[in-house]
Amino acid sequence: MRPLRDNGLSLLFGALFLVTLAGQSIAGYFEYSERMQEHGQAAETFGAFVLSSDFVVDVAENWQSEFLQFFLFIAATIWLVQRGSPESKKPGDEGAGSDEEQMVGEHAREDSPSWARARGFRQVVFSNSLLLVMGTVFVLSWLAQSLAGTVVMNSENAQHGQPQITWPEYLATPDFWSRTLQNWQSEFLAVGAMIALSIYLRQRGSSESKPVGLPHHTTSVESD
Amino acid sequence: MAHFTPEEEGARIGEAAVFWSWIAVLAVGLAYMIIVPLTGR
Repeated sequence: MRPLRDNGLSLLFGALFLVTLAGQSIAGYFEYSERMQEHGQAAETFGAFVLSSDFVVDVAENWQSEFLQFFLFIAATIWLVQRGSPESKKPGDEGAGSDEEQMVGEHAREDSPSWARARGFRQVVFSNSLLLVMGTVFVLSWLAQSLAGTVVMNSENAQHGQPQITWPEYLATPDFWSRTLQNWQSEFLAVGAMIALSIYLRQRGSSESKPVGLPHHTTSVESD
Repeated sequence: MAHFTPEEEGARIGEAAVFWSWIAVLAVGLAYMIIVPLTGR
């Protein structure tokens, strides 16, 4: 099937996302139900759990860190390079590139996107659209994490007879920063490892790797 | 205007379907994650 072959990557990861999200919701529901029983509280339905901040905060804290990872990776690779890594432009190519290199404005091709041919605001927006969308998803999912975290903390405070806190107060709690930073550190470790390990290691056939026989010092085939 | 063969046109429709499906997943997911805590649940 041609459509399946042409779009296999996004279809695979879309399916993996849905299956693992369903798995997270089921495992999370059992864990949540056990916690409710330990506190002598009535069990909730699965639907109520999925529509609760207890579930949302766990989903959102992972979303925000993943999109921050890609946001920073896309932004950093404009200006910084790693010699020998296929994830990087070659040294000397730092920067946003000339209009000719980027095929925008008068240098656009006949089949270039119309916003690449446009000038001014539309060209600026389109030239940075990937970063803008990834950054927007990061900010909104981090906001969601903080809102859901506030509701969860207030629910726990109510169980323990503690006073309620506001959203700004939650932003200064160890819980918010622990949830945030435990995800960020693993994302940055993985990205750094990918950049550094791909200098000397190869995966035959993968677009994330240099060809097996390419010298270690070669940064990427395209830019050379 | 560039012209495409029926096969190229089909591939372009597939690309667009994939792109907008992912945009929809992100939009629905973000809306869900923001609305649920705002309702206090």
